[in-house]
Amino acid sequence: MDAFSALMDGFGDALTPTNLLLALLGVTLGTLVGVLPGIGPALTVALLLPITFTLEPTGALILFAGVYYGGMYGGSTTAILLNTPGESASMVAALEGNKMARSGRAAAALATAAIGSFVAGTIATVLLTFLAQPIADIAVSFTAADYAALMAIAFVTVATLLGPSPLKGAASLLIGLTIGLVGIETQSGQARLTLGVPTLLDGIDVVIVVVALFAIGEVFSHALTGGGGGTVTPLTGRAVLTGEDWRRSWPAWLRGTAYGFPIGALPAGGAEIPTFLSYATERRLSKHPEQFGKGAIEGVAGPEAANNAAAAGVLVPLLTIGLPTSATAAVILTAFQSYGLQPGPQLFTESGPLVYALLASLYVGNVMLLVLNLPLARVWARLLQIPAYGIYAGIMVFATLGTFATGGSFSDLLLLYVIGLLGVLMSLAKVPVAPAVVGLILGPLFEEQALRAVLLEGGSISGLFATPLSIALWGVAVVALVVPLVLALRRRT
Amino acid sequence: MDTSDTPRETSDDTHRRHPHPVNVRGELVGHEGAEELAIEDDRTTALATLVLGALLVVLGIATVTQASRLSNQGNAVGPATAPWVVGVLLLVVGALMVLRGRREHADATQGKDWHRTEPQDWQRLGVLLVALIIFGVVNPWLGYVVSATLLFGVTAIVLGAPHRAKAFAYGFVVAGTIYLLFDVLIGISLPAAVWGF
Repeated sequence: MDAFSALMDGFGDALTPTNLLLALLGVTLGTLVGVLPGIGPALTVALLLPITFTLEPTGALILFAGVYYGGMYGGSTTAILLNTPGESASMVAALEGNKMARSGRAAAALATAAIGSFVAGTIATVLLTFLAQPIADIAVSFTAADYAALMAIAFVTVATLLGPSPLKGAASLLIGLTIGLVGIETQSGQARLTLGVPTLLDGIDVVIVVVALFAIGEVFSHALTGGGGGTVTPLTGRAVLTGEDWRRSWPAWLRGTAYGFPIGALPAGGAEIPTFLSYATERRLSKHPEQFGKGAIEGVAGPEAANNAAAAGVLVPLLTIGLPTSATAAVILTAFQSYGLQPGPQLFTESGPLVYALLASLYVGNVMLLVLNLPLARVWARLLQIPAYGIYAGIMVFATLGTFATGGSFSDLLLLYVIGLLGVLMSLAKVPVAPAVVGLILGPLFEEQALRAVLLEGGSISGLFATPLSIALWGVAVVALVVPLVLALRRRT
Repeated sequence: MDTSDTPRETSDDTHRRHPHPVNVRGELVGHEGAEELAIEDDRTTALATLVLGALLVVLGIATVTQASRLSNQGNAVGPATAPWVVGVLLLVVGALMVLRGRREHADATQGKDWHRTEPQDWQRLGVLLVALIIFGVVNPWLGYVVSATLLFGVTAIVLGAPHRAKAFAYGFVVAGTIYLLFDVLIGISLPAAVWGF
């Protein structure tokens, strides 16, 4: 069956009333948490993970994908109206978007961000649909060594590219890897790092770690240092674009998509880089370079498109290889695992209908998000007027919920608080938390593949380099590790 | 739509409700010095980097110790391999973080113009932590809704909510909504008190 007819069947599944409702719920929640600073899609999906006990896999994954896409749309609203963006990928859009908002063009900035996100999201989803199966076909022949090397690339790029410095990214990744080690080792039944505590034998639940690092850490560090500063620019007028806005926006959307999708699809560390590249390109190509820094619409259109295209791109390695390269993708991977599904080439052969229903729901979700974000822009903008204490008290209450999902014992709560304090320390040290989440979830998978690769070669380390592909991939990992370090050193001198 | 008479439309409500309108981050809306209010504290960042680095070293020692007690059951690699690798990396990165923190700390204290976290900021953190622990202790008896209401109220007040009663009222709405959504709809059993929620 070719991808097109599979997709049509997928639409059949995605357009059932239940799944439509779940998609709508997902994108609405996603936009909500994207708009509100302090909560993000990763935390939201983690809190919703218990839903996997009651929903069938397709519905739950449609819900999670909706949250993921919605978060990207919502983030731009915050970036434009409040000059401190909620997530780093929206940082670039804030540069021009907030300037536009301050000069009374908030509505146009929001419109170009929303339509650009729609255009980019849809194009990227089309690419995802038709590239997924071919890539999965290639991935079928991957050996354990290839997988280990691919994951090594993901570790390196996630650690070096997310956050202010490669060292702090590496620290975060290692924290995640260490937490991932806790519990009974599956092959031999030996307990690792459990400190004799019985609850730790089963390992530390992903939900607890994500909630502790993202939510508790966020609230505590807000209590310590206050907010990031910023003023909400009032939104006036309706979200419409003039003819000139359209003319200047659409090439930027397409170029942004061209940057975003491939960089997101390669395990190359998420959405920040394409947004920066897109911004630089638009600035160079613009017929109005004098407007840059004062509110040039291309500077919003391009990076926002890049941001959304990259978000869709991240789903390529997630679905076809089982390789998450962002915190949200990592949490979505655990959702698959809780159904006993392992993303990767087998997913396409064993659960084809599920994958295509999920892909179809992404098209539907994009349309819903456009509708939600254009006419309702004001509603979302109002959310920014909720005072800080309300938001953070809410996050606190939601955070405690995370432990009840996993059993709700007092020891789970204590674990949540301890890791939460670690999160505060990380936040104070400006250490990003996303690499920790990726490390936590990818670490055990890496261990499994690397050990398998080595044991296949009779216990020799050369097993990690058993195939030409794995040698090339390890090479890429080394380059990805060395280049940022060299750049960081050169910047310092 | 003309912009002349409605430039502040979205903040009108906030103007009415609060004498000083605050935005999501807790700063004064439209205030000149709004962006100054957040603490940009290089000294704390440096200290935290140092402490976190030291913590990583401790974790590294624990992990390496653990690794040395595990058996690979006769194979070259096995259950002990990953703890060895992670433990050694923890020691290296932890040490580098300590060095980085010390250097940044020296840089930060040289300049005069740094803000710093005040003792009352740490006090707020302490109150929140105590509130969380109390929440953990009382929720099996008071039920999720009441204990979450209390947690919301206390957190909001600690973070600067102007009206105490309202903070608890909002908390009750939030906790009630969560209970309906997660317990009744999704089916995660949240602790209930004798009165049923």
